[in-house]
Amino acid sequence: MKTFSSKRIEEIITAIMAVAQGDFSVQIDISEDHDDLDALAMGFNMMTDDLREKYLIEKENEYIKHLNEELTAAKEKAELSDRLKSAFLANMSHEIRTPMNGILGFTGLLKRPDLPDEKKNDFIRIIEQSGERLLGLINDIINISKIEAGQQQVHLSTININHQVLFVFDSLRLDAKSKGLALACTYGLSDEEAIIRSDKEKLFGILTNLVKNAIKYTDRGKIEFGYIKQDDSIEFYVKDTGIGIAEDKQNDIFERFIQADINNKMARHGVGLGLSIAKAYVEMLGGSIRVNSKLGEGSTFYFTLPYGSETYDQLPEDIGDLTVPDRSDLRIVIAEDDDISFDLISLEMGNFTKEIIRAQTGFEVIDICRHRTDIDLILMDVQLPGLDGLEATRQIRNFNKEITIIAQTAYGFVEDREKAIEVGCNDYLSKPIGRTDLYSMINKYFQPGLK
Amino acid sequence: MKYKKINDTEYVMGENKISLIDNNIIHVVAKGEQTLDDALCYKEMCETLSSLVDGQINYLIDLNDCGKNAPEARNIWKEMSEESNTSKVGLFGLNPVARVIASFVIGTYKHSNMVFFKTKEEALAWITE
Repeated sequence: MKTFSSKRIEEIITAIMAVAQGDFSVQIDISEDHDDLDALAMGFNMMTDDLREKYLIEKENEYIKHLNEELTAAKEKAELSDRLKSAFLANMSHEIRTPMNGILGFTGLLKRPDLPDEKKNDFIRIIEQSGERLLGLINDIINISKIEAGQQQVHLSTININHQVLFVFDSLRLDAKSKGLALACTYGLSDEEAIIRSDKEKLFGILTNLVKNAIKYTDRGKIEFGYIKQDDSIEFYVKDTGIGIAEDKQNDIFERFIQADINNKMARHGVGLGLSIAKAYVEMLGGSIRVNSKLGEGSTFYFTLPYGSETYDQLPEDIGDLTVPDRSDLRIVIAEDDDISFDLISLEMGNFTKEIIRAQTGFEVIDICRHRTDIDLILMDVQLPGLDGLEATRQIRNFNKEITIIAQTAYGFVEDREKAIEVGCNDYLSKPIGRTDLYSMINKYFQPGLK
Repeated sequence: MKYKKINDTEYVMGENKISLIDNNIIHVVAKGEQTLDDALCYKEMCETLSSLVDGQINYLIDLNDCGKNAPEARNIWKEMSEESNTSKVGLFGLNPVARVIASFVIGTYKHSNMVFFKTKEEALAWITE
């Protein structure tokens, strides 16, 4: 019987142990003898080669599998995005055309000479509601665009949340009533304690959005909203007895465009941007938002905002003034290049003015101000051809610091207000300019008997 | 080029020899370690040699002094054996190392036209039967 050196056998055992520890690179020397031990070593070497190759292929397959998973996820995301965008566009088209149809249709009907006053008022109300719905849609689109572009800024101020809750209640009370719904609000703190430092407009936006949604999705019953104080936060809630949200949809509703994609009869008008804007706002303000809901029974939306001890050092929020200004002697310049906007403002201002002068460019406003020292007010459109309203204001302030200049713009953001004030405007009106806002401004700057 | 032409029917590549012999047989004497690169060179030489004859080609492969066959090299041999122009592949080697190498080459091969023999004579007899 042939014997083998223990050194060679030891070499093979060592190699086997190395493989056992995952080292597939180990190889055993083959002698010139080509004997049984060499055959064993050759077999070992070729097996480890095969194992190494298999290991590398498995690793590569794992990587390919991972890539495929990523590709599948990306494809699914792209398909979902495509589907959502298509649904969004279809819904958007519907959402724009519906109020436009109301506006144009009922405007046409208003032209009928034999129309009774009662009908006329109904039609005007419909036109007004359609316009407001269109404006809401435009604001949502602008807001979501700004959020996505990272241009949405937080403007912190000290605010009284009781006033905000009441303001939302007052704003939406009639909407709820018109659907036969009860609307109630509760405060969790006294006026003295209900002070937080946050962004007033965003808080108003969040609350309004949630309460409006509750009204939209509730056909009978009631809507309650308010807040309770927790340790270091305020938890707001908006509770309805509406149609509720299916459990599998509850996570999706805060994603943009989702409503447009919910293919069921429960979806109401709207493009599905409101809740994603609310969520973005809540998160920007350092809070979180969630929903508890049961299909057919109703929903409660909760969101939190940080709460710290703040001192209320501001005047209560201005919630508008519908007092008709007691003036008829104002000389005003309306800087406006758009005919319809000019007609609208000049009609609204007609009763309070002695003279209305129109300027269509920034240069014209400056020219008028240089030659007329008796002008009381300039309603300055920001986007004017040639020289814009902000630059025109800046130049006017170089030679006239007294004249009241109120910016009016279709941009409608807090930053726009800041820019206007920075260049020297006294105040700011956002288009479409409501009568309440306009009257408030006139009353604020031109009290009766004062020049 | 790794290989060297001796004449129209004979090539060498290092210590390996490849030649066209009677009965449409390509005779390969494999020596030492066989890499993927080597196998690709074999393939090229075999294509040249097989173009010199009509009909299918056979392979007679001497593994007596053959070294380790890389997995990729073994795959090339399997591909060549599967080609429609290939009739039989006879491997032979007297020593146990040759037998192990042949087992690895034939191991996962699915067709019956590749067989291992101890001697050249046995392999030749099978090819020409």
